[in-house]
Amino acid sequence: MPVTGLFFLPNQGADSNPTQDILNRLTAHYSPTPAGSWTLSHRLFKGTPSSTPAPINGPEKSKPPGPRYLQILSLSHHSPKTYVAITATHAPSQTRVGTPASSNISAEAISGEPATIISIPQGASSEEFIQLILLKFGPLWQARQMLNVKEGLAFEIGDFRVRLGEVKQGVGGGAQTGRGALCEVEWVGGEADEEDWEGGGALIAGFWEGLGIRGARKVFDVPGLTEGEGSARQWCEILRVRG
Amino acid sequence: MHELLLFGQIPASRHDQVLNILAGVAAMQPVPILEKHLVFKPNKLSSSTRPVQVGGAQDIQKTQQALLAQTQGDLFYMQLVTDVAETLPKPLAEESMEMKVIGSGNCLPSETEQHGSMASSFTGANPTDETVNSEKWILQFRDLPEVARQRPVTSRLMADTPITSGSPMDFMSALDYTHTSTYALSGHRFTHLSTSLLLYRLLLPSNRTEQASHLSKIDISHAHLLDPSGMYILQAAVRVQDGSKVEAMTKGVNELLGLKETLKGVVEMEPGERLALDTRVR
Repeated sequence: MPVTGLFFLPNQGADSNPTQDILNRLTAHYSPTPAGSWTLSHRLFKGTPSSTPAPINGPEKSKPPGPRYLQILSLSHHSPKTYVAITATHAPSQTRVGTPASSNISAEAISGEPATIISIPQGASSEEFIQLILLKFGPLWQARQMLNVKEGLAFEIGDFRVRLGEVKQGVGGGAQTGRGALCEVEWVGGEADEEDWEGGGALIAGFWEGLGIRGARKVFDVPGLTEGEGSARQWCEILRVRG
Repeated sequence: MHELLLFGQIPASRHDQVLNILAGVAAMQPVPILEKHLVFKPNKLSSSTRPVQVGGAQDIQKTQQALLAQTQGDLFYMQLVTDVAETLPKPLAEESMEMKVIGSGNCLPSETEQHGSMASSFTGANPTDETVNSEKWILQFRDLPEVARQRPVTSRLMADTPITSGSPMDFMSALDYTHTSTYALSGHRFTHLSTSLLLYRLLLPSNRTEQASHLSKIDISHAHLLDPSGMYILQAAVRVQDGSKVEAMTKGVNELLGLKETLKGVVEMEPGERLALDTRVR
């Protein structure tokens, strides 16, 4: 998997169009060559709180366990795979353990351990799996949110491949609320099988700074980055703590 | 996806005869199948044991009720299935090809002998070659069959999700499921029109270490039968993509009934007992 970095620029106010902003900056600072389009589909499920109480005797973990998330992610440029990731998070120190479903996760849930990721075939199998979780796994996983990028743009700029798209929330077809712009910067300069996350990370950071955009949330360093499926892990991280 | 099923039972003494008849009906050689099934159970307690909290303001009660209503569903057992036959090293795979040709042809020596030679072809898989990641595991879900109303067949919702990368074991524990038991399915498969015919019986691993093992090798020679009488099960299954489409379901039912008619006198095909096929956690 090539080295990637993800950036998210949220919508600020009713008139803002962060996708256009980033696009303008890209064309201003670099000379991008269009390289096709891409799509993204993401579903988030939150695990229901476990009925067993947390152990009282002795602090086994430094932080109490927070909610667990199940994410199903399909990226058109990673086809034919669809990723299914399960993340166990630690609750932030202020909130109580096992927050009920009605509370909002406004504080960031920090994930300590690497997420468990498997991949399933994209298409009919992944659709079937999503339906299965929705219909039959209600007691265990509650559907939280659906995000997608319909017409993402991809560009090639030298050794980098930049994918830019507007993130929309909601069920397809009906009213979709825009949430902001997502940008994936991929460094393809190195060897095909080498995964130099540190070196690539520095290059990607430099690239982004060259654009001079403020207020973007950057996701690069996630637990388990070097264990494999690093790019998918970054996507899961950035798409998880949203809204 | 929905699955329509009919089941039949065949005593061990008639196995070869039925295998030949099915080969004639399906117009194909039987394909040997050896699958390892790992059964997983969710750790979460079922909602019936959840303590009911009394009192509290109306708002809290509402959210609690909503939460309870959502969590009051059934929890299901899941299975991870892999095809062991495919992971055989090459020389053993050739032996199994030989068995396939013999199995469809003339009368064979006694049942136990055939099983014995088949056993020798499946043992001795090299443990160092096989890691869990190199095999193809399928996450299998089967729902409780529907109540048998008009359809004289067993009908249930099913989903088979192949896992193409990642560790299936870690995934199941992340889902909060624990591995409860292992069994092996050994038999032959035929395909006739849209129906998949499976003539099989179930084996249990003999030793404890293999019971807990997540590798997909099975020591057939030391495995013992789940049913000591050696009875085989014939399963005829038709899969329908969309269970709500009446036309497609009727077509599937008719095909199964047609097959039942064809096999009349050879083996009695009946719908399975609904509660015996229940995969819910109780």
